[in-house]
Amino acid sequence: MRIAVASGKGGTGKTTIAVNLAFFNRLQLLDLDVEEPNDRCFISGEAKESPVFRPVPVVDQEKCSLCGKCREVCQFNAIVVLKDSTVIFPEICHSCGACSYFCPEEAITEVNRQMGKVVEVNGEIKLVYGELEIGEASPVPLIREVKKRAGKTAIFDCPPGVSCPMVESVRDADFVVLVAEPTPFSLHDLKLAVEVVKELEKPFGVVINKYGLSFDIEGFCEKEGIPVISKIPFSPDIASAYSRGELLFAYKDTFADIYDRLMEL
Amino acid sequence: MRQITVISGKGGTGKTTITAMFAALAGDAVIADCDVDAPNLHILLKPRVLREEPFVGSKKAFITDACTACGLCYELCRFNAIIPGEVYSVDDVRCEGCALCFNACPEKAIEMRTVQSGRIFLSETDYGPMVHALLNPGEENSGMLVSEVRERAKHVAEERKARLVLLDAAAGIGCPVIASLANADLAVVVAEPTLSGISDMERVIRLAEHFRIGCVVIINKYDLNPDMAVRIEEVCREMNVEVLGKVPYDASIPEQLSKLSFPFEGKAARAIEAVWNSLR
Repeated sequence: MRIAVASGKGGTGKTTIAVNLAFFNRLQLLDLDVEEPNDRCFISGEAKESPVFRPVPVVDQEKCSLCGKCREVCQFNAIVVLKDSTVIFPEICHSCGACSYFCPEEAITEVNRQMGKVVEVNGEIKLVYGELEIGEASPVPLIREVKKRAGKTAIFDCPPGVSCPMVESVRDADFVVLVAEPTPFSLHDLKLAVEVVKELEKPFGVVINKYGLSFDIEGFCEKEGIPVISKIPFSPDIASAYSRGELLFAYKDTFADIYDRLMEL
Repeated sequence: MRQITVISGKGGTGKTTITAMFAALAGDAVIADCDVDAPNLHILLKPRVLREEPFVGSKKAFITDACTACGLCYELCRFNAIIPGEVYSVDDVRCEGCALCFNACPEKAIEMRTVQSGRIFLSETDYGPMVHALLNPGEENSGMLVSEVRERAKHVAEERKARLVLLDAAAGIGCPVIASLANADLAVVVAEPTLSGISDMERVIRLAEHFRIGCVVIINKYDLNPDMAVRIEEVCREMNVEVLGKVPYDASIPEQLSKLSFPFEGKAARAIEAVWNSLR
């Protein structure tokens, strides 16, 4: 079973839940938050890096007739045709391949541009994470590359938000754990995340983190019939262990229970 | 007009709390929530919506009855957005609107259709005008929507002759954050004293540098791990970035937040005010 840990709002405890769930149940861990990967702060070991490239076009100015077909088919305004040359902005380019496909002069070829890397860490458990290059706009192709390394049983630590990176991260999961905290911000974003996982027709449940803060979030889960898988207390010990990149050994049983509960659901 | 974007890289470090307090302290800034994907600023600032507009993002491909199932679109699409079968169809979430299939289809069986992918709100708060938006859950093009929000905020600022636009960005370093940073006058980075927080702060500072935007750092909840706070200061020194201030952890903030009693009061609020005064 592949379990995605997502949330909507950032900072609710996705990483804490994902890392400890994987570690204490000896599961493979995939960090799909390639913009800001943090699972590596908790799991160390021998690391193998593989660069990930995406194709971007280059123009052979000798062959280019300045006809402007490439600019016309490019939907992302990544191409400008000047008086004497055609200029491509690789950072805006979505690597769709339309310009090279339609160029009548065959003046456009594609070269590889590194968009990030996939790192496989062989520690006490296996961790695979992606790291997006600074300035690259879309994490989605890199998320796909990381997912290719997923075993049959794995924990996916997903990026925050409810747009395309989050959707790409949860779409191959068999179950989604939404991590929420008892605050109005988290409740608001949880509702959005619930909409997404329902749309994707994924079974899901909620883990309430920082349980004990006075705002009520359980009422919403109850009303919507969403199973609350576990409640992790609001505790300075947990915050402090997290801040140092340490695992929650005192809560080992809690994470074993969460996994058992997920297997039942 | 000055544009200040609040960023963090990592989620949950306190961007929204700090932006909202800045807005309350400024009193006359135009406020733009550039987290269009999971926006929260409105929860604190309680805007009264004056106008709502649909956001039409890029177009998406749609396969019509004229399809002969030749498979060319499937072969060409690099986003795995074409679902093959007896009748071909398009996976809306994956389609990036590149129109390669539309232009290449020998049967002209593909149309590019505009889809409403969100809403934009022009509002008024007790602290100044606010522009915010909501992307439909699961949608893409959040970067485009952020640019639209910024465009409108700029327009409102010009109309009102406001001197400041305050922007609250999303977490991460991808397209919505890039769109929130582009051409800003300053990025305020909200960092938290955790190992993850430091890693994320470094990456988001490098992103701002990549786009040649100057940065200052605020260490939020610095006393939760004073050693890590010192490390943040060291990292900032190495990166030549000024630490503008430190805000203590204040257990009354989550309490005030649950009751939605805003502007916040207490020691964290006072520290944010001190940071605001030095920023101004």
